[in-house]
Amino acid sequence: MALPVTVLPELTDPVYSAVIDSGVLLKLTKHTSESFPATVCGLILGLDADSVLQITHAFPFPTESTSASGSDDLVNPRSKVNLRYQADMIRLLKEVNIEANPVGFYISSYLGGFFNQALVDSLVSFHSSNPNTIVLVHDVTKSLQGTLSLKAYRLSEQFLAANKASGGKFSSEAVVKHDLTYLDILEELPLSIKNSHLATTLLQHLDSPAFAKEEDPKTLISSSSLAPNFDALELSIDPYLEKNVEFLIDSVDDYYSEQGTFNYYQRQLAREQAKIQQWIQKTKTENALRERANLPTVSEDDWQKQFKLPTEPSRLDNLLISAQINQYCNQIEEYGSVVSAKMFAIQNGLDINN
Amino acid sequence: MATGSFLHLGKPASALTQGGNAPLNIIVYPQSLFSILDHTLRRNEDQERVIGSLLGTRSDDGTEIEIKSSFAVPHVESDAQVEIDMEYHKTMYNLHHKANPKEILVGWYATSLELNAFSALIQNFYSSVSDGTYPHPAVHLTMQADPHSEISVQTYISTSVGVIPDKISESCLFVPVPHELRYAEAERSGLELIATAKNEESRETSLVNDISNLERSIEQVLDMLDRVSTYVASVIDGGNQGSVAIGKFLLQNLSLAPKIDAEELEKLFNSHLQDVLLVVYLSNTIKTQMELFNSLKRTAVIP
Repeated sequence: MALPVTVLPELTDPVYSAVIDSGVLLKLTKHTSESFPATVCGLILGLDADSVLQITHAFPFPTESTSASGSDDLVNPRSKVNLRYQADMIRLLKEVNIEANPVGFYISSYLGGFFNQALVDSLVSFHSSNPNTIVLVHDVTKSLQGTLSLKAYRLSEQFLAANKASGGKFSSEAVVKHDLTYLDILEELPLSIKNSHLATTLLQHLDSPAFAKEEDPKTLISSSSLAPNFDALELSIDPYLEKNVEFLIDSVDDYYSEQGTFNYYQRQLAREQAKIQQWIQKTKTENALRERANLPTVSEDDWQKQFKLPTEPSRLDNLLISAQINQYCNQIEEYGSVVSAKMFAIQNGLDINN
Repeated sequence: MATGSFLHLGKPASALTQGGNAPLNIIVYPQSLFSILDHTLRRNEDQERVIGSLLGTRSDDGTEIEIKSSFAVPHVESDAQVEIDMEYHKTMYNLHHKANPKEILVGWYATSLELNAFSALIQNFYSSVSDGTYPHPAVHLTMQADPHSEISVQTYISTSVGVIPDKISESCLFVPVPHELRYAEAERSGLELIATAKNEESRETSLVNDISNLERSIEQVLDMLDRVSTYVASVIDGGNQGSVAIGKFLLQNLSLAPKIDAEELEKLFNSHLQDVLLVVYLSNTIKTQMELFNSLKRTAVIP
């Protein structure tokens, strides 16, 4: 599928990092985790100032799947239904003094599987109206294990250049020329969380001893209701790894089938090129004969009229699948280091006990 | 967390004029509190308090209400009258309902602890038959969001008992209802992260990765073990009167430690560890292969 060709505005003031308001963070995690394991998306609003993108508000997009267009609509923040919803919502939010400036969107992901055509399409579409568009990816599976996993990405310059140059077709040539590899389709932005003064007051209040219930021995252990939980120490490690490996294998399969399509194209191309060579040779000898007989010659460049080269499939699929595989591998690696640390710690602990 | 203490009694259904069961317990999710605070920050300059609608779920028998989200509703208040943009409320509610089909209107909030005639007026609207929560009573949540004082939250429901018949539309009796804060499992990790910034002057925090999170957890466990051993030591020395509850609790936890044969354990651990390492190794191999493919592709295109 070809991407829509858009005239890209020049980057005037690129954004280097993002700051998210704590309330927005909670709203976002609530929406994504409530609808888990379904993938959902929503819009984020904010401002960019001094190379920092401030995310000050967010709202979810409707999740109804009743529309006839099928399940693809669900994760497409640029669908018609969502665009209308967005316009309605922004009009209302303006009235209560909320920055009505869309700066991107958020999606939930299941085990970091978010590299797909739809995401890139949406980003390109958003980018045409605001060059500082970002996407926030919330990995719900990971957050359930105790570490909040929220990442901010935007399209890399290489990707935008390649997209522009090849008209959304991503030929091998454009991809190589613009130095686009699977590692830099998306560029990660550093993300931090900021509390408002009032939110800080609220947190302090929740943390104060007066709030804790008395006479419960459990409160003697953790003095605050906001103390970090110990999910990070959880030892059931297999399900996560299993799922991850399963997805990795699926992605590798996808990769091979994509590779197959490309190989087919290359064989096809080679065959056509051989035919063209033959034709040129034949024309050459014919032309030589014609010249001797003083007849008009046929131009050797006329092969273009006779033959049609197969069109190259977009290399974007390949890049996206590669990026996805890379993502799974990184997850497994990171998880592996945590798990082995835990295992050794426990082994040592039990050795002392016995 | 209530400032004044009160006794809350569930009344028999017949005593309720509105038919539905009155909520006995209100559960507030922190997300709605944050969005109320956000609204406070965005109020117009001369506005003293802001109001908005509360959305959430109601248990089947109506005795428990969960407040899950909220949105702002513009209103103008003067000494003589109050004006709420009800059209705004309706449109916003419809939009919100589309995205969160499970959440229904349960009440409204105001960012001042004061209850006055206007509160009654608004309360009567929110519990009205046409657009309100009828037959269930609407919940009114007041939140002190003044930067000078501590934040406090109160929740009320209204009854029409004891109101002046002439002024039925602008009077009602607010009955305090107990409420508690609750976090959803998946929200917890986000909330904790936010909480780490509460003592920072910059009010900022960044996301941590798995391994540093693990480190923090382990440090905390060690810290707690220290505290417990100090406490136990002080009780043994006789310097501190031991608490039976704590003693029982500790004993209960100690008995949870599994008794497994050392050799068996060694074997289990090793095989498991090897599995994990193998998976990591394989994923590394795949990664390397991808890199290799990538480089080859480049050299193939640029001869």
